[in-house]
Amino acid sequence: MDSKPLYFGKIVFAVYYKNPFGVVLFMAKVEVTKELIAKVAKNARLNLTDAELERFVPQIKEIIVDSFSKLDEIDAKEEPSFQPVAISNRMRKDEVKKGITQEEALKNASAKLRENGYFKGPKVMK
Amino acid sequence: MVKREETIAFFVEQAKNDFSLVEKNLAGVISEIKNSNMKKLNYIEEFDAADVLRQVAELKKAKYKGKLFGVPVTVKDAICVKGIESKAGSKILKGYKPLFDANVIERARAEGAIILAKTTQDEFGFGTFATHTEKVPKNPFDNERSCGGSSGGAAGFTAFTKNFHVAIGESTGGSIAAPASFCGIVGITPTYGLVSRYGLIDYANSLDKIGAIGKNAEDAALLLEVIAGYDARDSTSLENGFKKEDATIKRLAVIKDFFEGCDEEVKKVVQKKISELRKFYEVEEVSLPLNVKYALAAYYIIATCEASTNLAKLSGLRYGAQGDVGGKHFDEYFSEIRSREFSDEAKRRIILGTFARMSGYRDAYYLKAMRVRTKLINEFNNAFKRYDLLLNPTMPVVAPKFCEIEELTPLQNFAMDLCTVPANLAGLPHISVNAGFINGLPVGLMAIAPHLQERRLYSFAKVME
Repeated sequence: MDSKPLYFGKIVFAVYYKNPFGVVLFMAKVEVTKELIAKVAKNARLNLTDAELERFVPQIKEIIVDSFSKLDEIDAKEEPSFQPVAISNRMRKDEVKKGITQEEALKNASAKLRENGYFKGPKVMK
Repeated sequence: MVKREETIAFFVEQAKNDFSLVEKNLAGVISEIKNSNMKKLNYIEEFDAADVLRQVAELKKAKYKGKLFGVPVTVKDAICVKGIESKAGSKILKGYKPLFDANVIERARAEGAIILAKTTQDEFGFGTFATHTEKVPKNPFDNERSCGGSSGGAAGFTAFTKNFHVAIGESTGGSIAAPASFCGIVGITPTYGLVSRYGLIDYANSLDKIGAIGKNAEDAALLLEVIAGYDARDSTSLENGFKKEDATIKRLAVIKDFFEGCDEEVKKVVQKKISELRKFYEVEEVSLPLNVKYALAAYYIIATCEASTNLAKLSGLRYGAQGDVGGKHFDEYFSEIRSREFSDEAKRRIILGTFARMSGYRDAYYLKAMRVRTKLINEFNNAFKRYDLLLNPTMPVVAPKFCEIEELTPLQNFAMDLCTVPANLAGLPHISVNAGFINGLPVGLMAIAPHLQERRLYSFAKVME
């Protein structure tokens, strides 16, 4: 059985090997580090404090290693079930319907984040 | 045995001719809300007395008297009610008052229901014990213990009230069955797509199902029939509804693998109940080895992936918690609000889901989980070729104490959903009914039916009762 780890920076990305039946299996083998979790959190627009990182890393590691990675054991060639029941596209007529008014749309915005009938947002350009 | 006089159907029949019964029952429920709030039992998130009085005045004039005429209905916080704060148990949606009713609310109102109050839940439904929120509901059987989650307030109040009332709950991985089991009442989770998700603050789109909670199976079934139906505003809404023909049940099978991780006492109570059922049905054993091994992993990958994308829209603009944008860049502002307002549990799940969708991992986790889900659905469908219903204990334990829950790691927490997750992942309708008690604490038995065979669940639950 030949196996070959692929390295992406510090993260062991995947080990794939040929099993005796000649089928290539992908084994996701992830090293869950503080750096990885901080990077993922940043992608999800979360600033984690050091205390949070210390708390989350072992918890997340346990979930990924002991639970998520269980799926590596099983070979699944089936079509994915993005929904549990069969659904199909449904077309509808392109008709104009009454929506909410501008005033209503602004109702849930705080006074600070509303101006001249518009939502006020943060800067987009750096 | 449930007496006819104890059912909502009986109450509605009487109330149609005597409105004073509606007023009397409502006054009773309202005093229970106040009483439970005073005792800090935390079932109710939001109650607006003026809004309820306005509904009663309208109901008094109503020409059509519907199937839920005058029945007080509480609503899980994640379901939008027009003008009433709806925040799915979170901090980040504090202050959000929807401009519209969810489809289930429209349907309940059309049948004469009084939309009474919002009930407490885990933040966005993230939990098995309703402890991941500010107002943690306490089990009416023992206030030191959990109501179960995430629809904890809904089940807790249903068990607490002595009056006529039903609750609209929601389940992603077991959030109706788990609290129903811990609180000794009935919870029905329908087939995925049977009830419109329009107006539900979503957790995981391919898993979320709005369902019904009641003191008995007939009440829960009545509520489900009112809220179910096609809705063009939900792209996954099913057009044909549940199967109305043939609800006869002959053969049941006990899912033996699901017993393995259960507490010995829980096993005994459930097995005893099942042996009593042999008088009515043929009962055999079945094994679902793939579900017992892989359902939890596939479920938590899919659920966190979908949750992390759903929660991406919550960024402190337009509604809910907001801050001061000042001269901040949008990345900085969004991160600031999200970091401040999401709880630990939400942050963990967002991180897990974002990780499993990241380039390089997407195929190994997210896509793989969706393929495994097909396998797991097939395993259920094969079992349904031979059996009309499948049975298992709803929860592996009785309601734990809050101090016991604190000791669990997040993964041990997830593992509590072992028996409820497979049916939820497969979108299969299921019911939890009380099977007995251990030292005064309720134990639930769960029955799972094939897609759209909700009627089998009602007929089975009536035999159970």
